Amino acid sequence: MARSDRALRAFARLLPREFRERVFDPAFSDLRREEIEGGAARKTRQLRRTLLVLESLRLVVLFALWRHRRPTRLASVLILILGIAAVVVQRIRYEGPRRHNPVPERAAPAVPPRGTLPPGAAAEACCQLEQTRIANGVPASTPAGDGLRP
Amino acid sequence: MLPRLSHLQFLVIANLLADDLAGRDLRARLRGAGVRQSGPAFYQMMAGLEDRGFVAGWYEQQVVEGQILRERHYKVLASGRKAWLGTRDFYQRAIGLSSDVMARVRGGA
Repeated sequence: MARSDRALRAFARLLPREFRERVFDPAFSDLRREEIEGGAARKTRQLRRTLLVLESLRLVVLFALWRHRRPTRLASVLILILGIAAVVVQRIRYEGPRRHNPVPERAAPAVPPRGTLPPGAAAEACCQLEQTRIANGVPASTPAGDGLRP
Repeated sequence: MLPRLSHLQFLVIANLLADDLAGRDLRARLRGAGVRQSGPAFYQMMAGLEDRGFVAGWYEQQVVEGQILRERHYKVLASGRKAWLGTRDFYQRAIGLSSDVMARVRGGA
């Protein structure tokens, strides 16, 4: 049992001081008293001590994240890291498909030879061509250079 | 106003009103009242009550069969007593209201 005591004391040293003094130590002391007075079987003692360690671990996580009715510095840092990681992941997911599958540029419609279209159809084709150029980011055509305007 | 104590905290302070108690004895009383809590969970709840200024805790050293044990003891403080009284008044008012409602329900039936 002395070896188990030493292991538990070593475990206690890893806990935050405040938690150890106010939570773990009194609980361990009660357990030892029960063992001394009750004389439980060796297996029962080991089980109780294991449960004490597990329960302390469960509580110390909460203690490390939330104390005195507010998040601890560790919790704030973790929240910040998680927030940044979420933004980075979203950014990577957004950029990934665009990088591997870029949007193909739409080909400009072929310009018919001068004088082959009726006046209304020519104006419509001109509008369509301009819209395509705007969509592709091509600089606007000069009035005399597009070959469609009369 | 809503009570400042939970049911469990109310029960703990009620047990401490009469006399100071060792954590172990307090836990035994709670167990008698049907509260099942592990040792660390109980002492964490007591640490919470200490942080809020409702109880004070200290260690007392004892020798049991040649082994030195440090037992934690608790006593209720003035603010704890006040919170307990406030909670009791809240429950009494709630009981009074529910009694009126029950009387009306019975009268209507």
